[in-house]
Amino acid sequence: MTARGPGHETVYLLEPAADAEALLGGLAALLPGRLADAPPERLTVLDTADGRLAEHDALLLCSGGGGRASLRLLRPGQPDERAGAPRAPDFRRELPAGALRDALGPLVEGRRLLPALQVEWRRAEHEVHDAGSKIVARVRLEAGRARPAAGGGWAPLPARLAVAPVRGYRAEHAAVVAAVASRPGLRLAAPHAPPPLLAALRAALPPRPPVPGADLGPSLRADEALRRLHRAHLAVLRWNEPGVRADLDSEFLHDLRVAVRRTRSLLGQFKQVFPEAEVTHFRAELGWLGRLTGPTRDLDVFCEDVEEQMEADPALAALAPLLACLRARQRREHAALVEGLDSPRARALLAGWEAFLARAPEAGRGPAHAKRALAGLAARRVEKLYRRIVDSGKALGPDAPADALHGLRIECKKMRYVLDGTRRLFAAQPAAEVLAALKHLQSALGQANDAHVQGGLLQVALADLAATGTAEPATLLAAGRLAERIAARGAAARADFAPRFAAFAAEATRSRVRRLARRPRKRTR
Amino acid sequence: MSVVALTHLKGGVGKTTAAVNLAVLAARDGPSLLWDLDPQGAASFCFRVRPRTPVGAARLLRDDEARQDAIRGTDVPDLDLLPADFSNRKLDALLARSDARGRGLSRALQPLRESYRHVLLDGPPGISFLAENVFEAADLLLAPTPPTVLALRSLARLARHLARRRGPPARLLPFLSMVDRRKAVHHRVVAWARAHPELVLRSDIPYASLIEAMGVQRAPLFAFAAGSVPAQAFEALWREALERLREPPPSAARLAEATDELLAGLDEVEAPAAHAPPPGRRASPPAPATAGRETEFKIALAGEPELAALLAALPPGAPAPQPAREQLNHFFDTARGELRHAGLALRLREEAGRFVLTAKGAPAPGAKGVLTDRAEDEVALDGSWAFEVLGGLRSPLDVLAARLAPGPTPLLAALRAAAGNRPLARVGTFRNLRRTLGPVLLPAGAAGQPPVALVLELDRSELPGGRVDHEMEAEVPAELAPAAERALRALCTRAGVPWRSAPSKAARLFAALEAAAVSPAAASRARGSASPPAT
Repeated sequence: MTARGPGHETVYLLEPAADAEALLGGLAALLPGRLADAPPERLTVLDTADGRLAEHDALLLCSGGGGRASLRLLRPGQPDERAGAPRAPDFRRELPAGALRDALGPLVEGRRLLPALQVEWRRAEHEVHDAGSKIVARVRLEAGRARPAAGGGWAPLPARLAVAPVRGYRAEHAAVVAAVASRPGLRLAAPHAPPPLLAALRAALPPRPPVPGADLGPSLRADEALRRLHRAHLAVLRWNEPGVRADLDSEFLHDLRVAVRRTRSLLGQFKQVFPEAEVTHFRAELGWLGRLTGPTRDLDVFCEDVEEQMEADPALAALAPLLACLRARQRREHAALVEGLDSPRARALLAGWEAFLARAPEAGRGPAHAKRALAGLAARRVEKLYRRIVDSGKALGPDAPADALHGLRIECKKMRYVLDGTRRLFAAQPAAEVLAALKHLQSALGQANDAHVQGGLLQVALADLAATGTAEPATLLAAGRLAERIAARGAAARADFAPRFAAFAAEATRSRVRRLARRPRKRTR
Repeated sequence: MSVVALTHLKGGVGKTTAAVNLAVLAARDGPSLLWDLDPQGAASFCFRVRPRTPVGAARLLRDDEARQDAIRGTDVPDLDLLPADFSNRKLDALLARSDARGRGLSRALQPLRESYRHVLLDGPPGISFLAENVFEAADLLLAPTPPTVLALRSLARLARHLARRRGPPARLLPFLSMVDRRKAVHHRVVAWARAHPELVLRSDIPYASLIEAMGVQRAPLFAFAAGSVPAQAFEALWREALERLREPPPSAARLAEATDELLAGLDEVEAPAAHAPPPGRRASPPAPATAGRETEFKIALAGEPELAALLAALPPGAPAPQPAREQLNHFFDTARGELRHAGLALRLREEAGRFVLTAKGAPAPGAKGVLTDRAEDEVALDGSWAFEVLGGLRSPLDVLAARLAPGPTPLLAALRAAAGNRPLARVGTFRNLRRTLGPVLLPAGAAGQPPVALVLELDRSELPGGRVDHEMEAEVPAELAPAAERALRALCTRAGVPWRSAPSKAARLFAALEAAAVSPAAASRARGSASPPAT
């Protein structure tokens, strides 16, 4: 079937007791045309650790070996995309330029492609011919079995029989469907039902941690609500830890760091909910953990940025030796990070934190705000942070030092963490609007900070390169060009700051924050 | 979307051959369309595509919906074809009237941009308004040019014409076709092409009988000779064409000059020998047909235990049942069940790739109980007839009438009378596993009577709704029915199996359908429509 023709495949599932071979044999005798029976195929289904392809109902199939892998991307309602590669790719960027690589971009971004499912698959296709031996429809039988790539037994996949039309041959397709429908042992697949392979993939992917804040109710007391939030952040941390250790891709570390920062920030912002001594202890230790991850993360981001720029601009190809120095430094920092994660201090932190969160709320007289509803506390906190951001931001001119911008960025993150975690406690629309304005401001501050950090990293990398004694003039020239681009990005971000801050500080946002603060949700959505 | 046109002033240079094969290669990049603009319809012929109903040139140009409806899929995945019909001869005049700037075709292509990665245009030879529209619409003009004087002259003329056109320069790239390197002149022209890589594509297409065979095979090269030398040549040509799409267009004026410099007397290429005409459709063997009566005993069994008891009661030395054969039984009726109400049945049975269409009449008045005596017409069908019946393309009554020899029977007339003008559709199907036993010599069941040789059919029918029936059948000539009945009664008595009649399979199917809350009428409505069920 051509992707652009009218009509869609008619899909049947075989009843478990149905004999696929007999069915196919019967159809081959009945339908004029030709049966093409492909040999069984073994293939691997690839996806990111967080199942981004499955989330979009997409399947990336990889087959072949011995120096040649064939890839196929299936997406609902879109033509299949195919590509060849020397081996199964770890990242999208390893694929040859083309439609498949382009299609994967928005789906997986920079995440690593991991084997998720192994499949043994057999496809037989019967081409139905008209009197002139022209193909007017296709009947395709797919059957096989699958098992998770991480290990486990084989499970049969429901066998499917699809009747695919050929554009312009509607009547013939209808006749073939009528003939196929006369076979016992078939039932029509539910419309929009995911193909069996997609269902098997979803079952094979590791379960994701729950979204923090998803289980909060407006009447929950603050200590219980915050424990739930922190447990969710801890689950995110734990989920990402193996990927961080294996350095599979930079997103694992990003998500782990965000979980740590959110936890530490919320501990500090909601005062008199938990005993002060424990808050102080855990904040200090989480701060240490956060700092442990910082250098690796900064290098991850910078290396990816340099690679993207090299790909986009052939004139920067000479940066390769500099990139090698950056990668070497990133590997050293990563090794230090893993050592830190393995340290007794880290183990004690996480175990202690887990035990703290498992404790029941204080029964007797505890900290002053422990029993108060979190919704009210969060509302007042959001309003206070908003005023603070506006007051601080007003004082910043176009030449404000990087530290001052960074300080404002920290305040914005605090507000963001409170809003993100307690969003379900507020009315949906004002919360969404305030968050949108905050994200818009944060984006400019974030880019300014990145430029500042990357400028520093570039200096460090150049020093590393100089130490090797192999710095070529071409590399130094390219580094100079890179430095100019970093500086330009920083300047552009600073120029963006003023109008974005103005929008954030405007009456429209202010009144939304006031509405948010005055009317927290009374019932859970 | 890229638009690639095959063009030349001269005919017979290999435009359609190139269009067909390059279209197949284009489809490997993604969904592609070949628009056959030539009223000869050679590209359409190659792909075995005919327009379902000729759209007409005017609607084809102006009516986006009509154009979309006219597009048909080819046998090549991701390759569609807008087939030619004879009204394409009017395209030239229509385009001339509608748009003097030659953009009519470009406008018609616009709605296709989102659907196709590549569109290839195969137009007729010559300079015309249609050709001007092709020049305007195409991102790349490929001109297959045999290394002959006439073809090169035409190429030079085309290049001069394009050089003089206003507007953005056309990207004209000739390539050598039908090259026979044994010929000295071809050799010279090839050397000339190598010396002008900026003006002429490096890839050339050899003269090859395989290419001639495309017309015989009615298929692109890649369908029957993928990997052959000419197929590889087209692959190289397509790759080179895609690269050149990204580069600035070469100078048509320079091409005209260079071609003029080359021109000299060349031999024409010999026409290859004609090939055998295409094989016709496989003729169905004469269908065996019987028109007569069915005299049959049908004994209902209450499951496997009674069946086992019967088998145990067979005389010593009786053969074992043969392995079970699967049959699918499809029954046809009108939406209101007129055949059934008249006591008639129409069944298509499939077994091991064989198909038999059977009409059964109402039971004769004298026969009752276990013995049925009814008219029966039966024809064997090949798969294509069976498909047409099951697919709703042809009425089973028409097939029965067509296949019965010497001609219509009273039973056929009764079926037609019962059905009237109402369409017949498949109302139900069930699976039957049949084991044949015999012939087996059964004791007569009466003193002094000789044993009776009977073939017993042991049936296990899986009906809709999960019901499973067992029965034993024995078909006998009418004159042997009394003896057969005595022998079978005696067998049942020995086995302890009650002598009970089994309703016809048709009756049991309808009863099962009703029990499964699907009436024959509703089943007929659901299954009788020519449209496929919702997906």
